[in-house]
Amino acid sequence: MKAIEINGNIKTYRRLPSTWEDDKGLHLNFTKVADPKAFGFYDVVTPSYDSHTQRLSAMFFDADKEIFTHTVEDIDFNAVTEIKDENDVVIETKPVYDIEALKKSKIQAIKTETGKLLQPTDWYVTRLAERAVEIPQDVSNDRLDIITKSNTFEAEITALTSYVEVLKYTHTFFPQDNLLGEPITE
Amino acid sequence: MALTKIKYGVLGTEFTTATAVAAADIDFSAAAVFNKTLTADTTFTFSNDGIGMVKDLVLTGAFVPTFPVGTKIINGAYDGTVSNFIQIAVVASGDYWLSISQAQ
Repeated sequence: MKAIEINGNIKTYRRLPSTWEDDKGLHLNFTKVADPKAFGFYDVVTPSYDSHTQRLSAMFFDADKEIFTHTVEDIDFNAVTEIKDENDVVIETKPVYDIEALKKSKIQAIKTETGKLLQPTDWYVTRLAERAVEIPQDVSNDRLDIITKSNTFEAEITALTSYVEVLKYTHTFFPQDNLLGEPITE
Repeated sequence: MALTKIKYGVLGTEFTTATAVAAADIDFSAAAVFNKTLTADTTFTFSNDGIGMVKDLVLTGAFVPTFPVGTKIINGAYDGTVSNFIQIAVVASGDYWLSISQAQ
């Protein structure tokens, strides 16, 4: 990717444009230009970053490295929002990143997923209640496994103490087997 | 006898000849058709151009041709792998319209 700064605005291109017009004239076949830097086009370099805990700054031109890039900034999870009265006096502060709200949201998502996983076999439970037909043991085991895992996930989330931990928390009801498998041997 | 019709035979060389562009200047008074094979990125200039003039430029080469400020493309795109037929029309002072096409 290339970028150029024009009148203070940075414009990015997936590749050089086929024609380019500037104060030097109209350039055709511009994708073949030998030195794009001579026209103000420089590579765009996006640094790696943790999207959970960091964010990229606005793009800027790094003159030393001759690239367009971003700085990586850590998100301040302790930031607060100040609520002021008409005299501009702070009367209340609220965390920008509310850990309890995030926990609640994550737990709710897990409960929803649990419900969807149980739903296909709910009819066994209904049949048991209405007609006293036993639930097959394997179905019963599967449902218990889902519920147990759901409860475990919820407990794990509840026990977390930092916003970042909650943010990064992931869960899976059915872990994938090793996709690479065993090495093939004769 | 008075000449009442302008025939091709009486036209000047600027209307009837083709010439190679030696350096990078396209002299509108020199020929009707200009030929050039690019061997490097080339910045063309126009000279002796007048409003209403139309010249043909047959341009080849996988390099970057640059035309003077005030030039705009009205049709087509340059293809460095084949010969490009570029018509240059002077529609106003310093205002050049380019139409680019290739053999089908």
